[in-house]
Amino acid sequence: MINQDSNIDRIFKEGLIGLEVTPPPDVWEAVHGRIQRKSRKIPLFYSVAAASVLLFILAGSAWLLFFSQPETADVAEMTPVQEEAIVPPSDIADETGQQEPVITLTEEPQTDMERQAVETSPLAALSETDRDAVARVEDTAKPIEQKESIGITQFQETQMPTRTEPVPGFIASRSDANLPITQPLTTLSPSGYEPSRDPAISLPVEMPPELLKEEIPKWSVGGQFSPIYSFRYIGQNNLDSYRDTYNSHENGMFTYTGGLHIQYNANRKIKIYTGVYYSRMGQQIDDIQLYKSANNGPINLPIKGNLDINNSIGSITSRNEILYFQDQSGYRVEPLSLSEWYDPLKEGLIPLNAEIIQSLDYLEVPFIIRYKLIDKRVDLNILGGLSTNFMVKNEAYANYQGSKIHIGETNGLKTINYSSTLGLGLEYDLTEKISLSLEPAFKYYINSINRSENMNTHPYSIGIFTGLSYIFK
Amino acid sequence: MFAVCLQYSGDYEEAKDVLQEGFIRVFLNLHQFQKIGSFEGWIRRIMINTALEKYRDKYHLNRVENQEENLEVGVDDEIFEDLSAQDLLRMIRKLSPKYRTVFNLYAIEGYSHKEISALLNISEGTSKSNLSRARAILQEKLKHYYKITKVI
Repeated sequence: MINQDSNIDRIFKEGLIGLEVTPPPDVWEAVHGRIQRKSRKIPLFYSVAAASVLLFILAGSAWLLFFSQPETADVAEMTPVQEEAIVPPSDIADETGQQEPVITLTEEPQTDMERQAVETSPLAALSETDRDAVARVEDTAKPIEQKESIGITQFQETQMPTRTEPVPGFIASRSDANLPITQPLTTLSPSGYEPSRDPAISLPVEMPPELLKEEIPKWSVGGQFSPIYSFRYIGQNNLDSYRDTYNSHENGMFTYTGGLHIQYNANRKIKIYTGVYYSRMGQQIDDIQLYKSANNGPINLPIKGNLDINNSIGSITSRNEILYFQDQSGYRVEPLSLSEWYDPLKEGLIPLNAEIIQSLDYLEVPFIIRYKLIDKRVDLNILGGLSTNFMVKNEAYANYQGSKIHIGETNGLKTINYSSTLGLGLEYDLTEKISLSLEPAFKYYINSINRSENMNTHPYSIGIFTGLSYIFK
Repeated sequence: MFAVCLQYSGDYEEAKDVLQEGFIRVFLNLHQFQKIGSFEGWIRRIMINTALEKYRDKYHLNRVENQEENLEVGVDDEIFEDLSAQDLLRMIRKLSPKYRTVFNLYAIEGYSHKEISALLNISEGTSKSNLSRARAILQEKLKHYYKITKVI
């Protein structure tokens, strides 16, 4: 029954076609770990500053990478070339036609044997995602052609084309690198399994990240810091004249924000984080001339009470008795009547070349969702969410020759405010447990921070957050 | 791919190692894949190379030519209901490493004896004799299998 060597070869060769054996899941984990280790060549810590610079460079190259490389390679496009190359110069080519690759002689459904192999594979032990990944790999192992039976059928040897696939790794690196792998393979069965000649295989090259799936770390903690530009938007219910005045005599300012967060990874794509941030918001009020008393003593004003400086955020009540304010452009300083008959220069006050800074500090509790858009070496996230902001400090001061002269505080502000955040984030894993992030983000107070209904001011800030996270694994 | 690794490794753990090492190579050499031909074929080739490397490390350093192998031609305990791919795989895996490797390369992958002799650093004659021995053993096993199925 079995008396020819080549028949034995054929039984095994054909019998093993499409055999699928699911590997144990721990192999993927090990692969993932090793890949991560090998691809990480950056030392753990220089300093945060150095890491930030590095991240900028990485971010740049990541962008280049995203835009210069197609996400998938369309192998199907190459198929025509492939088909031409694989038609062997034998009589079989004539019989089967020039358009058809030789190996697609029959197209039968899966044999019982294969179905059995699939059914008995221990897929149940894997997670859904792992199963997908495995399926994507193993699917490609299914040949088009199926054998009809195990029995010995007619067999004909034929000349096969040369093998030209690139072989990285061991062969190329060996001293005997001149392996005759490009020689004609005269011993293959014409119906043999040659995946490289399979025109039906259209495999996305992007597959590997999917394979790297493992149990996702659920929690991470970290800190972020950002210089921010803070200003405000004046909504519509204000009187137009006030709005124009304020807009032309007020400016945004550069401050900072920072805080600690704890992040929960809902899945591979979605992360939710909360924490406590400290943000300094505010603005700069221009074109108000400051004066101080010559002897740094209290100024005797011919009125009782304090001066008020009206602005878009509120009214600053001056508690500083050595300062006098004169609005050079309008009627922002109250009492208004004072400026008509009080001349500070005649009273011997000294003008100060100073600007007024209105600063509001908030303790922010964010609830932000990060969604991973691109999962590469440098991840790209979008983030958005809501924060509750508790006002913890309210101060106005004069910025005079680099030093702060306290003025007072702004009146009429709500202590609890809500803001929305929208941002884009780059994330890079420095080590398995520490990741670095760079997130340009925009924050806008969705409620008016004014208690008075006549005012409708919404602070906002733009910042680039640099952060480090520790991932619990 | 794991089936390929098992085909080249008698030991389950070793097959796991080959798969792991192979996939690491796949990822690290991904940029070398030139998108000509199938990706799957490329991976398969890497797996086989990895397995061969392991084989060389393990057996070739202490190579003894024509060493009598500890063969298991005997009766399998299991009674096959069908000659499934897994049965065939099992038969191959029960071959001794030398026979198994030569048989895989020649019969399954289609390498010539000249190529195999270069890959495994053995003579062509050894390759041929290993192949014929492997075939003989497999033939025995197949006969045995058919005998069993006939009885059933």
